[in-house]
Amino acid sequence: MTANLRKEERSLLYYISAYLAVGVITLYLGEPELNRVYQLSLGGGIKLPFWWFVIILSIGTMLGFWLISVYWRLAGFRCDPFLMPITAGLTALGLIFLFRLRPQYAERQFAWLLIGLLALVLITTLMRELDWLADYKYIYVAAGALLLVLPIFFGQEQYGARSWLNLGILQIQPSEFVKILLVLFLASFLAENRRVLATGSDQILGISIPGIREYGPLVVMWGISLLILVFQKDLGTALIYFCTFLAMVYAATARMLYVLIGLVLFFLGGTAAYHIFDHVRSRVDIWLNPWPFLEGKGYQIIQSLFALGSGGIFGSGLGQGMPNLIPAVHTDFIFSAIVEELGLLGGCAILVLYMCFIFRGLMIALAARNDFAALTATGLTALMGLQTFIIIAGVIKLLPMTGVTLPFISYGGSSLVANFVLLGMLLNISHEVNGGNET
Amino acid sequence: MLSIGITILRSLFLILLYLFIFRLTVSMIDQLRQSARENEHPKDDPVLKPVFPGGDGAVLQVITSGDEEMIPGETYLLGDVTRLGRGRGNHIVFSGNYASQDHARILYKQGQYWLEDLGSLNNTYLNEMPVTKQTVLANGDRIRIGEVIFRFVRWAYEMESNN
Repeated sequence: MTANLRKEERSLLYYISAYLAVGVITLYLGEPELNRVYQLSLGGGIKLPFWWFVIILSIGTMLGFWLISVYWRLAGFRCDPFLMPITAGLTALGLIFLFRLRPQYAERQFAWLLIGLLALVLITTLMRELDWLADYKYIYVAAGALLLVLPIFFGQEQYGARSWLNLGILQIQPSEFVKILLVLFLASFLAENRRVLATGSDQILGISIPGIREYGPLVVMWGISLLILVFQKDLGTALIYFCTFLAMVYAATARMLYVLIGLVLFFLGGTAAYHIFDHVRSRVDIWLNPWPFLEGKGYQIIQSLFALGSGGIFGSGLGQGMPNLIPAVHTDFIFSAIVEELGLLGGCAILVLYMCFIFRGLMIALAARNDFAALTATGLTALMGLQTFIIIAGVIKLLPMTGVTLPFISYGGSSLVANFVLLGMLLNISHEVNGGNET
Repeated sequence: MLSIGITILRSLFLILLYLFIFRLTVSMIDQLRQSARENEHPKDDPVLKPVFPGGDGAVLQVITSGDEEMIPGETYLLGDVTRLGRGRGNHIVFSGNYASQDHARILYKQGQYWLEDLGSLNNTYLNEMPVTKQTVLANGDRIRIGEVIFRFVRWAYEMESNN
């Protein structure tokens, strides 16, 4: 059984390797000017043409995924065989588009990718038993709050959000990692209290409501994280936190009431934020009608819409669009660039890949051995799905634009590593589902 | 010539992406079918034994079943060991989410039935008291797991063992 899972995984990875190779060759033949523009200077005065660099990075990426698959096979790790190839596919697509859009960032993204893969290996080796994680829930709250507060005092403001920590050579965005802590806290808290939350101990107006001791810590935790995020002005992340929170509470209790209360709270909070914060108001105004701001604030979203529209069904072809007109195209707006060059078909393919990821994640949650594992898997999957939804909806102007990354595809170190950590934890849960360490 | 080649490569790029998705979907459906088949033929699983060997004929009667697929009034014969939980290897299987994978078990030893909680998250209740250690069951005891309430019935055999 173990061998079969890994065999499946490897046969899926063949497709990704072929696909990455075709992408790189297409770029090479289609855009020879890249070779002249960028040269990589190595130590000792040796100059390496950029294409060699691209080829080395691509081979390195695929080799990384292959080696992990082989390692899992040797280590008898019985995780889900589909999640890793899906991730590899998204990462490969991201790398190709990063080579295409911002070659100067590819080197750094590759370094982050290696760190992410290393984190994946470490987590799947050291944390196969996740149950002990449930015992430290208040440590997650403390660590999470600390990580969120740090950037307020020591942070840097970028793209209108104050959520980066500068550690000399690299910048990290702690809120990406706090997401996972939030899921762990909610999972362990809800697993312990779900029965009380689901049935309630008091009655108000005929509706049973649990006591303050049960929902108090939840509300406090939620309020603190939202307040801090408001001070950091990182609205996208706040939205993801809040929706994940609602999804997990619903998964644990199956009560629509909590979701309704949450939506009402969200609506009130959103209205208040619109009136209090300038940057929220400008985001919403741009969303409602970007055309008056064509030369200013609305430029980005309008360029994104042009890019999406000009792609048509089949797209302009890899390397033939003009996605570089969009500001921040390599992070938040990478989806527009992909749709411009691969068309509606390419955009749908990406959505299907994310849906497959979510499908597998929820299947793992359904089969999980205990409540904590099930809720953790649900939360992590919800996190991934919501983040994808929020950024894609922002890019296509379905929702106001909020700056979050497209998981695994966008350029962004912290986000990439955090997503690999998330993947590792999901895989650990599926390893338990498939029989765990015992033979 | 080169431009035709590049155009072909560009389409190949999209085609490969879809081939990957196709392959992925096919194997995911395969896996779903496989797990459905495993559910249909539970004999493949050596742990799962719906028979209840041993015991002296006492039963658990379902009083209320909540959302479970049990029918109130249904009885389960208790064996030497009867395991209750959400896992498929148990003798009495719960489908809802309240029960843990291995929730509780009832042992028959020294002529008595003992109820033991296996560290479940939502507790096993004996006459509305959480079970913390192995407890002897008496006729008429109510055992609650989640929203399912069982009654322990042993009257017919109490007399026999006294003889």
